[in-house]
Parts: sequence; structure tokens; C-alpha cells
Amino acid sequence: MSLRLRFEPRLRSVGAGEIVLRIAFGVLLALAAGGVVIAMSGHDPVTAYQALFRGGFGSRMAFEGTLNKAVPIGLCALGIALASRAQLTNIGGEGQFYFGAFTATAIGLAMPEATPGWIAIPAVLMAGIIGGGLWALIAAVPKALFGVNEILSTLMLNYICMLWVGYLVRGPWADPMAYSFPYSPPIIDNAQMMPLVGSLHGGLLLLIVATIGVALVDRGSRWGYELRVSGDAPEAARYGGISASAVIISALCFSGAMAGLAGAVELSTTGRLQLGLSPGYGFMGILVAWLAGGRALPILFVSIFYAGLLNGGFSLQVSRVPSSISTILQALILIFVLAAVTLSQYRLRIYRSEAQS
Amino acid sequence: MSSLSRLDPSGASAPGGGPVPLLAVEDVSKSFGEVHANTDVSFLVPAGSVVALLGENGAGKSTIMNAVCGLYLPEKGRIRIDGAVVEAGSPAAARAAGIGMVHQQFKLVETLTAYENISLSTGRGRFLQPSTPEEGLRTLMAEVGFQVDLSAPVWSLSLAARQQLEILRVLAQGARLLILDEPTSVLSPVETEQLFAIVRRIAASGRSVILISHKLAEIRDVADRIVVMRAGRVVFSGENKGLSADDIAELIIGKRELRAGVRPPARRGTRHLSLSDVSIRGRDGAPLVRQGTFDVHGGELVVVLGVAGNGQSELLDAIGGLMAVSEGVISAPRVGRRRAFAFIPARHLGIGLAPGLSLEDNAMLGPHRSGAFGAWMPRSKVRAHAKAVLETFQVKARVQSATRRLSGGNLQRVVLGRELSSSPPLIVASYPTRGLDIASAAQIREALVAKASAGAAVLMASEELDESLEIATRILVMSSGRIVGDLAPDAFDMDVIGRLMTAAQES
Repeated sequence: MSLRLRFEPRLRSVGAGEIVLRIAFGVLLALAAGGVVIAMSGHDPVTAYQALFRGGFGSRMAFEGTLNKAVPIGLCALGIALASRAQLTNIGGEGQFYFGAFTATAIGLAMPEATPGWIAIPAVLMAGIIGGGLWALIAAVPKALFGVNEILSTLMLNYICMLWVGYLVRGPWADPMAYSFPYSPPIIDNAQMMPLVGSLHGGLLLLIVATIGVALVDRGSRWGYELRVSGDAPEAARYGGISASAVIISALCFSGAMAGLAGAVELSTTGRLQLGLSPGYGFMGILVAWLAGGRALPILFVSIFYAGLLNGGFSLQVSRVPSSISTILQALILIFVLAAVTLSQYRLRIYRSEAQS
Repeated sequence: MSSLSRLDPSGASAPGGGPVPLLAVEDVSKSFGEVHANTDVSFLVPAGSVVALLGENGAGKSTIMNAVCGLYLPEKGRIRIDGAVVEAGSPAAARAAGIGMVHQQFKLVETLTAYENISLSTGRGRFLQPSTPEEGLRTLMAEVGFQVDLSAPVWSLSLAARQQLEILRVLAQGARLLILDEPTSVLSPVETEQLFAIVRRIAASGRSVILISHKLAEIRDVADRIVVMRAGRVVFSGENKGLSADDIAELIIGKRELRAGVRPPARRGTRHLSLSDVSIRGRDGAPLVRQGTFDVHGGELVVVLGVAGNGQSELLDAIGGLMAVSEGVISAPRVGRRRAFAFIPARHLGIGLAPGLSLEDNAMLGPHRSGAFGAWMPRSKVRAHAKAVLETFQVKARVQSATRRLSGGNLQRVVLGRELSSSPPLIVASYPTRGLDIASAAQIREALVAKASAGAAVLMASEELDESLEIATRILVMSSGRIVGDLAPDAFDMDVIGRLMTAAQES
């Protein structure tokens, strides 16, 4: 008689409560592993975590800052998640974000100073949506026509767009009043979103509306259904009369439009086009979408959590801990949580093999 | 292999004192959740014998074979080879004990050559994969009578050749017990005979073969022993001799009335499908269908017959819109560019149904673009539609359950239920009864006959001569991509059809 351990797939799907438990377990493990890394770099993990928490969620001001940062992350993640329904991987959130910010700036600069806010702000946001969608279209059309891999094309379009914005803010759009800072001139005052409560701006409302909207579209719309079928079985989609190219183009453009909207929101709240507009929101959106399992409501919470990590990272420096610890933590949490969720589909079973009968 | 334990001296003789059977399955039980797939399954396979394992879909045949191969870990019971217990739930131990299985879905790497596929599982080189067959393999091929070109890439081989390759691979691994899962489902009658000749020679060499099937007639010719399973239990195990086909059929289906399908009255209604000079070429440019021209009218039930691989499935796929036509015109009911008729593809999972989605989602595939649903599809409406689809053929499953977990018969019922839900004027069905048990196949035949009687035009492909002769109002025979016969019921004759199916192949 010998004992053996074996990894077996579970036949029963795991309930929502159990998934939450496993995610919490993954986060705890990630924090523990992160603590080891902090200790190895010669700092006190407890101090570092305290600073991180204080910076992200510790005060009303910190929390408001976190919520504001959750807006672009969440918007990018929602778009990425919906495209992933159709097995489309949009790595180009960052580029679409910047192109959205660019088109939003173009409108924001071109409108007459006297344009009322109820026209100017929607116009800027709409410009961002269209810009982001157009930038994604550049990758979507070759994918639909020739099957060009969208992972590579969207990724490379990021660099093109960032260089384009860099050129604009140092060249044609450089603000003559900003000396040598690479800024555009500010967009008209009425197109800038002002804080509503404390430092909280209207972007959070946009994110909540978008979350509900995406959840509804995903569950109940014909388009959402067609994305699901295309992602699960492309041949079945074709059989069911679903056009593969329409799905590819619409899903990627929607994904880009959400990132473009994020860019427009950031532009509208900061007022000027600049290269530091995003600390990598488009890329964080990918992590958040994965962590949330591609579901809309969890994306809302995970994006707030990740925004907290990002925000807290700034205050780490105050306690003389390198802020890159925050980036390491973001990655560790992703790895541990994904591992926890994947492994939860299996069970460890001890079984006795009968060497004799 | 050390993972195989041969420690049991007491098992050296079979119960009853006769010679030790090659395989002994003893009291094996396996359940999935609340479904008892196998309950106390026991049977013996003597060395050098051919055993037919018979039973309807869902009778537990595949489960017990997967347990024998070590793919499933049974809750209870033992598997013995030569009297020694094989470690349960370990494919490696089963392989080392000499158990080999050829699955219904072939597991070959299409881009590699036939020989490379064998060498992958027999001798893996450290850096370089050997590329020419060794002597032992040649001897084995000659001994058993295989005719496979080992240097040809697998994608260029016919299904029959691929099957031979799978068998050869399993034997080359040293298998003494060969399990073939539904081996004849992809073969023509001639190819089936060839397969059985091989099976007999394998048995003559002292190895044993288990054939899993639900085609009685052909299996009875080749099997020495028969094991019949019903509802997870063995209901019969013994000699093939002395049993009539009726005896076995009754063992398989139990006491149940099977009503034979009747031909729809041959009334010609309006023309719903018309093909003129339709030719189809494969990706490599090879002609698959040549100048197909025919019409199907309302009230007709037209069956396309032919040896597998003579263009029947491509022809139906082209009508259904899954394949492009290289020349000619197909006119069928359409709305815009979308098909407005029922099409049942040969493969349910992956084409007719999206395996990862729920049944309620799959019940909408196709209808979701028809007038019944708008851009917004309320859950309640979706659910009601799904329930109606499932009820059409009495599929007992919750609408939220995952589609891939359904049995083959239920998958076919879901597709049919969905495709027939809109009372289409034309029904095109590619092998709708393939792989189904007797009762399910009869149910589906009856539904198609009923639709034709009610005025729909029905076109189906089949590989069962009996079934086709029973229900068709017209038979089209295909050979080498050409329609070589268009027969009315009074001209139905096994010999004529058989000649048409095979004759033109030589040209």
C-alpha cells in the first residue's frame, strides 16, 4: 500500500464565495512575498505597508486621489475585458489612451473660449472616445482582413502614439508660456472637469455608469452574445451567421474607445496634453481585467484597489522606501491571485494505490 | 516498467480454474457526481480473442474502457492483466501492462509523417527524432497486414489510413490488448472489411481486441465474445455463437418498442433547394465535388449516400454555408446573406454548438439574428426560447448547464430542436444519426420524416444503407465527388446502390 498525492480537475464549478476566499488568500500570500522582498532590500515591511496603506486609503484626501486614479484604470479594463470575450487581446490601451487624449486636446484647444461647459465637456469626452476607437481601428482592420495578430499590432501602436504625442508637446503644440516643459497649452476652461466633492471629479460617475453599461451589454445584448460565441467557437459563430470581421472590428474599437475616453477624462481634469498623463493606465487595465476575471463589477473594485497601490506608491518615497516596491506588489498580487484562481479548479487528492490485492 | 505490479501469485488462475484471461475487469464502479456510469462491471477477455462491447449511447462503454486505460480512477473494483492487478487511474501503468486504445477522435499530429507519429510514442531520440522505420515495425506491419505509407504526412491520409496508423502506433508501443472505440463509424463497408481482416490477424497473433460499437450486424461477424452493457451494468457476457441479431438487440435496448420510420408520401411541392453545376475544391485545389446539379422539393426526403470521403459532407457543408463554392450556383431560402433554413452540421460541438456556452445561449445561435430577438435580448425571453428548444426532443437538462457536458445524443437533439423551431421550409442535415444509439437515431429519423410529410424539403447525408432505404423518397449516390445515381424508391436496390458507390471510384 502506498500513498500518493494527485492533482485532479474538479468536476463541480466553484461557488462565488469560495472564489472570493481564494482571492483573499492569494492577496495575503502576495503581501507576504512582497514583505520578504522589502526586507531583503533593507527596509521594514511593516513601515512600508503602513505607508502604502496610508497613501492609498489612509485619509479622505488619499482615498479621493485613489478613486480619481481608478477611473482611467477601470475604463481601460472594461474595454479590454469586453474584447477578451471574443478572444481579442488588446494590449494597446496605453496608445489608445494617448490618442484619445490627443483628439480631446485638439477639440479642447479649437473650441471658442465662450463655449458653455455642457457642450465643451461632452465634446472633449466624445472626441476621446472617437480618437481611441480610431487608433484601435488601425489594428482591427488588418486583423479582420488578414488575421494580423492584434497583440503585436496594438502593442506597437502604443509606441507610435506616445512618440506622436511627444512630438506634439515639444513641437507644434508646445506651450510657449511653459518655458521648456513639454506641455500643450491648456484647453479652454469650460472643457475642464472641476472637482465635484473635495478633490473628487466627475470621472468616478462615468466609471460607474460605464461599469453598469458594460455589464448589461455583456449579459443581455445581441452584440455581447455574438462576442461570446465568436470567442468560444469561431466556427460555430460562422455557422450561426455571425460575421467574424464585424465582431473583431466592433470589439477592438469599443475597447479602444473606452481607453480613449479614459485619456479624455485625464486630459480634461489636468487641462494640458503631456507625456506624463498616464503612468501606464492602459497596461494596468490589462492586469485589472485579468484579475477581475473579465467581469464588469469586479473590475470596478479591483481598479480601485490597484489605484490605491499606485497612489500609495507615491507616499512610499516619503518613508524612504523605493516606490518601485508598489510596482513589485502589483505584479505579485496578479501572479498569486491568478494562481489561486487557476489552482482552485483542481483539488489535491490523497489516494492509496493498491500494490496488492 | 516498475509501476506495474505483478505481485499477486493467487491471481494466477481465473475463477473457475481455466486459463488466465488476458484482461479481467472485476466489480468496477465509477460515478460522476450523481450519475452512476458504471456499477459493478465485470467481464473477461481471453487471450487471442475479439470481444465486442455493445450498448447504447450512455450505457457506460466508454467509461469502463477509460477506466481500463487508466484515464479514469474508479471508486471500486480492479483491472487485471494476466491475473496481475494494474495500478488504477494511471495511464502509464496501463500502457506498461500492454493496454492500448484507439479513440474515436484520432490523436495524431497532422503535420508530421505517419512514421513520425509512431516514433513520437515509441522511441524518442535525445536530440534527433529517427526518421526511418526500424525493422521491428516493418515486421509488425507485414504480420498484421497494414497498408499505410509511413512517409506520407498525416493530413494527406484518408480516415481509414489514419485509423490503421493509430492501431499500428498502439501495437508498436507493445500493446497486447487493443481497444477500438467505434472504429467503423468513419469507414465505408469496404474499409470496414479491411479493418476486420486486420483485427482478425491481430487476434491470431495472440493479442486481444475489444471493439466498442453499436452497429450490430458487422460486429457480429468478427467478434468471438460479446459483452452487452445497459445503464452502467453488464447485462450479458458470453460467446457470440448461438445469439441472433434480435437477441442482441433486445439485450442492448431492453424491453422497448421501436417503431420503424415510414417513408413520407411522395408529393412534390415547391422547389426549395436548387443546385446547378456546383463544384467545390479543397484548400489544396483538389476537386471534392464535381458539377453537382439537383433540386429538392417540398415533401421530399432526399438522402445522399456514398462511401465516406466522396464529397457528401463537403456538398452539404457548402449548402449550409460552411464551405465556399468554387463554381456553380446554390439557391436556397435566404434572408440577405443569411441562411433561412435548418442546417444540421455533421459536427455538433464547435460548429453547431459553442461548447463553452450555456444551453440557453446555444439555443439562440442562428435564431438570435432572426426577427424573434432584437438588439436587446431579455433573459426571460432567451430562457423561454431555450426551454422550448429543449422540449422539442425532450432533452432533460437545465438551460444554464454547460453544453460540453451533454452526451452526443442530447447535443444532436439540441441542434435539431433549435433548427426545427422556426418550421423551416428546407432542412439540410449532415449525418444526423451518426454515432447515435438505436432509440435516438429512430427518434431523429421520425422527426425528419414527419417534417417532410408536413411539406418541408429534407436533404440528408447518411452512411446507413438500411436507414436510407427505409425513409428516403429519393436517393442520390455520390462517388468521387460526382452524383452518379438519382434513384426513386422503386429503384432502391442494395446491389445497384453498392455498385454505384464503388464503381466510379476506379475511374
